[in-house]
Amino acid sequence: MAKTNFIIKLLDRILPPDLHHLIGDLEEEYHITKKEEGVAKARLKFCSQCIRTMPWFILQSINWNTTMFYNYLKVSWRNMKKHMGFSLINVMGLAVSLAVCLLMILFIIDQKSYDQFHEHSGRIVRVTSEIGSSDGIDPVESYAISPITLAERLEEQYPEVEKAVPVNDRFSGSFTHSGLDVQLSGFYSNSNFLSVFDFKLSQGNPETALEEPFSVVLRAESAKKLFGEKGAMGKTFRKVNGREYNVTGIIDDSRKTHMNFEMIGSFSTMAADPDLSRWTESWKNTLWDSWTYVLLQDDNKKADFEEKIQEQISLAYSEDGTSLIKAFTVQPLTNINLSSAKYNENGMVLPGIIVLFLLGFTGIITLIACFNYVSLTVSRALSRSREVGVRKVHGAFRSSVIKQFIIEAVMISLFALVFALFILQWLLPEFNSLSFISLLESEVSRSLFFEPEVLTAFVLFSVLVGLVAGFYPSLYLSSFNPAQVLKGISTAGKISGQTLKKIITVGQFSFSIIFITSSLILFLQFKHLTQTDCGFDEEAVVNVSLNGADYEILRGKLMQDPNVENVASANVVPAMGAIYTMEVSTESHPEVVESQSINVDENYLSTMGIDLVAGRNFNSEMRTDTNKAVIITTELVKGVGIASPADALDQKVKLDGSEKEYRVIGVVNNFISVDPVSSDDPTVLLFAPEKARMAVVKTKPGKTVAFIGGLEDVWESLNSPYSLEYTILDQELRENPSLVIFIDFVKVIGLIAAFSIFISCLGLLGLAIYSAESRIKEIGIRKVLGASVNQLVLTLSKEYIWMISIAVIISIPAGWFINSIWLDYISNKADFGPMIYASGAVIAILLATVTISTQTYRSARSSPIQNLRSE
Amino acid sequence: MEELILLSVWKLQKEAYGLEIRNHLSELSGQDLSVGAVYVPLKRLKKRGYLESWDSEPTEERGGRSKRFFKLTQKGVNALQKVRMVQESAWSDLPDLGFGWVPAKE
Repeated sequence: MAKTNFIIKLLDRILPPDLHHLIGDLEEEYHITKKEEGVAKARLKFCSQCIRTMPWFILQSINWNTTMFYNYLKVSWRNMKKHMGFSLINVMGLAVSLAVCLLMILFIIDQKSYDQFHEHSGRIVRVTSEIGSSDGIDPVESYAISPITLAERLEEQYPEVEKAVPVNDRFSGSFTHSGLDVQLSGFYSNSNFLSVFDFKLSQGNPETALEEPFSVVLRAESAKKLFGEKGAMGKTFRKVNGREYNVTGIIDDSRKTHMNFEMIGSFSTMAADPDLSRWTESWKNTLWDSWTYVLLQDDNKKADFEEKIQEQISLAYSEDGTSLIKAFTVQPLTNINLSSAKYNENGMVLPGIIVLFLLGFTGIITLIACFNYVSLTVSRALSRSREVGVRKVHGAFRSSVIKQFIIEAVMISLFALVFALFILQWLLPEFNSLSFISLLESEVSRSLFFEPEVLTAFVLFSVLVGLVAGFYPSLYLSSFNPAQVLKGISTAGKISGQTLKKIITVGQFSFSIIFITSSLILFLQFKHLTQTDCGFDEEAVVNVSLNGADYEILRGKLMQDPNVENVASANVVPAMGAIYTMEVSTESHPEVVESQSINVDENYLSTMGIDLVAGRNFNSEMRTDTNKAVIITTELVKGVGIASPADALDQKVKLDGSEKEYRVIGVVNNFISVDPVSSDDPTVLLFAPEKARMAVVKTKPGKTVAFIGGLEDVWESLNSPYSLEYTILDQELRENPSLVIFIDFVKVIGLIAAFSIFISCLGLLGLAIYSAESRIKEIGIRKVLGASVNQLVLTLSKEYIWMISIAVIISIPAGWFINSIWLDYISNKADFGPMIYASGAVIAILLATVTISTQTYRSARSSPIQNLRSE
Repeated sequence: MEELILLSVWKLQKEAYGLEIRNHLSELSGQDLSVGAVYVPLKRLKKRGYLESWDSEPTEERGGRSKRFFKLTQKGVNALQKVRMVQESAWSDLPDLGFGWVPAKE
């Protein structure tokens, strides 16, 4: 009986209602046969009938379902057109959320695709190490590296290794060819690199290119940097103050890989170059920047392989029975990006946690979008309920009404997808231009957009969203009792989700206000930072890198230039983030004060326009100045507990824990020494012209360009192997990376703010529409009793004014609190004034009013006669 | 086949629903007819207007489903008549081929 029941139920579901009598006949026959000839015969007959007719059943079913489906589509389309405005709002709301979700999905797909293009990517693994200290004190951590000699050993000793590739990334520095010098960095590796990985060689023979010592394979872009448009193949170039290298190949391949290299030098170079071979003597020297990749014969044997190679630790990498390598692990190539983070990674690798974070973010946005869809759809419930009632009276099963609404939701979602794709066209380049993305070199490539798998993923995702979003409204809308609805009795009791919706809308608004306020604050702060007074004169200052040239000689030459006012020496450019800290203490203040330090000469203060508030400048004539004098800032004076700058003079300070004492000969006002965000770091200036790294040149105002014009010649005359490197201070300050990161924040937070206020207004709209519909009679009556349009608008808006006020009351203090957390870290604050916190609220209130008024005005102006007459 | 179905509907009168028609025809032809062989023509005949159908109240025995009864229409009878006439002339005047049987002359 069970089996037949199952089949009957199945037939029930798939066959059109028209054929249900057929099922009934079968069932009846079964019962009769059972009575007359026994269960076995009955079952046999039943099953044989079913089997014989199965093809026809299936055909009927397909026919029926297709027609129904087509019908649903037609109705959905008609419905959408009928409520055009409303559908559009739904579509836009979903579109915005979809765009963000799709962006995340694209990002994850892109990251996961790294290194997929290698032909053997399935069989390539990397050997990584678990490292702790030999004595077992330090905790064992996961590192991406492995000993440089491991590759050779693995290839020799294990037949399951087809090829092993050692990689070391110390191949870097300044390289030059016919006068041009270029910073390049890359790997040392052997021929296996080119055969195991599939980087396309546009020139050169992959089998021989990395055999000979001092052979280098360049990336096409690097070749262009060194050799210009002329071919690089076969030519030689030199490391500045170093050896010659032969170009034996050009790699022209821009496909994404986790490895970051501009060139590959042959592994044999490391042994052949006497400078290098010294430091490759012990595997420990090169452990921290070497990686080992292995091409396995068989991709199923990874676990076995991993077990086997553990013996290598004791065979080759232990001393006295212990090793700092505790274990080797084997990691598939395609897993390197976006899985658990390891130390000393090869190139830019993102940890897998990011995926979870992004997925979570996507999930939240999807939920918010679905919630809004539900809210808006349900608020139209009243007007749609009549439609549902009619359908039901005509015999539609509840399930088909449900299917109807779900299909409608999916349709809207797919439309939203189209819009989302358009939004993405704008959003993607914006995302890629975020500086932290380009820093990490994780831009998402646009070509990904058009991959079929990606598009399918998108479509599936929107369908999913449609299903989720449409689920509740369809259940809800289809539950209307046709009799009640057609009579016009509003099922007010059921629609009590109103309170929940109100709470959520208040939440959305508060959230938006906080974000709007924050982005405004960020923006103002950013502007302030760019315009801030540094405490020194940054105009017309050029920093010239010495790169080993003699400072005095350079100064002598530069001072002869009529465009030059003064030249000083320094080891860092202030306010650019370079940090040289020193711990300063005095006898009376033994606790150290962490300070910034700059090594300067006697010209520094005047060149940089920094004024003394007490004491005197360094004097090169005084021998005691040379290694016993310091000039400190007023902040440091305070830091060591001295009352006034004047009192600080002649005090003795100790630096970095050494017993040597320095005498304070001068005090200057605070200036920005590291970062524009803090204008009051304690700073100590040391007289150390011999430690200079750059010449700080103050040109006469307006003469900077002229000066730079002549600078090239002056540099030439120094005969330095390096080419001229200089920066213009005020330009450099403007392009300061920490400022740029700020822009990122402004962009992201601003976008989130825009997004969330949009969604909140949509939610509010939903509420407004519902309210207008349900109070239609009330409005009619009020109008008849003489209320004016304006009075009506006020009456209707009352509940919203209430809600928004709550949102404002919550968000203003919250916004203040949240922003003060990060503002506290910034001593160089912009002057905000309390009004800024209100500004977010003002914007939100404005938008909300516009939203609500569309509905209130519409209903206030509707004809009362029509309203009261309906049904 | 369709002719047989129309005839069985005719004969069965008030009992003419899917199952009965199928059983009747199975008895008549001696073969175990499949569901498809009966219901498909029934549907077709209904479409062509030779048959009408009406559904009864659902019964427990049939899992809450109704029975669908069929009735001959005027058009159906006319069609049968026509077929009968065609058949008669086709079966008349058949010569003796020596196979041992010739239809009886009426």
